[in-house]
Amino acid sequence: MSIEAENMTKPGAEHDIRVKFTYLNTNDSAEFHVLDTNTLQATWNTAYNKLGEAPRQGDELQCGDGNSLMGDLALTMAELRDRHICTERHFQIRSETGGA
Amino acid sequence: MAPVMTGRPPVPTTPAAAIAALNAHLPMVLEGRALEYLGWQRPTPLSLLIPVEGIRDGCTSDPYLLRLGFTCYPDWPPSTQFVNPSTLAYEYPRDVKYLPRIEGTNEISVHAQFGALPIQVVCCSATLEFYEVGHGVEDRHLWDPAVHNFAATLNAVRRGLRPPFYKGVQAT
Repeated sequence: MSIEAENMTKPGAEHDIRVKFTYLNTNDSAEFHVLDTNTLQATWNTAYNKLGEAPRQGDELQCGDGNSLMGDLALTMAELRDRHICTERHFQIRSETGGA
Repeated sequence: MAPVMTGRPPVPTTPAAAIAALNAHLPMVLEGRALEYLGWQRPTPLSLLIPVEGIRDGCTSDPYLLRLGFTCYPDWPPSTQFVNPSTLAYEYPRDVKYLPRIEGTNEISVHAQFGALPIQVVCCSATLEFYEVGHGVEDRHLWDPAVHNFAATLNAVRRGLRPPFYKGVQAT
């Protein structure tokens, strides 16, 4: 059995997954790997670092289809997968605008 | 880096600097795709024509044409106008039917006229007109060329053109 296969069959084995974050203020994007035991919040924090951006008051994390993920930030990436949330793992960061 | 300006009207950037900024930002905003592939046009070095869709419930959509102007860019956001596709301009009240109706959000709306002025204002802190009319704005929403490029403008418009905010074409 290969090491990879052995790791995948171990109870509680962590898996490495690839995610993409787009920063909607510029359309800059970052793709990177995270462990599926990471929370979505921690993954979002990593995305800011990868993008070279700082969180702004009112920022919202969305799935690539525009649906808000702000209620799911405590979930692990594995839990997102198991609940079929944002299955393509393309996320986007939206900042508030002032207006009307 | 130009400072974030509060309470001052926008001033034009030198054309060379504005063109250079637009040229630098286009690849990122287009996410690697070509203008033509997306149906965009660049009729002048400092303007873009961008087809956008207003998406209703049930996946039906209404087409609009957005004209962005970059004379004050990047220190200020682009001029943002929904235009008549035949004239590529907006004239009140004839062209009100080419404007979307956006409701239910305090982040963007489209005014066919602004007060008594027969000018279109896409009321959003990511548009030039917002600052030209002296609209009130919180510091944290101010356009910042260190943070924003015109993707912010386009994405704010697109958000308003989706459910639950998009309500169809403005009545004439």
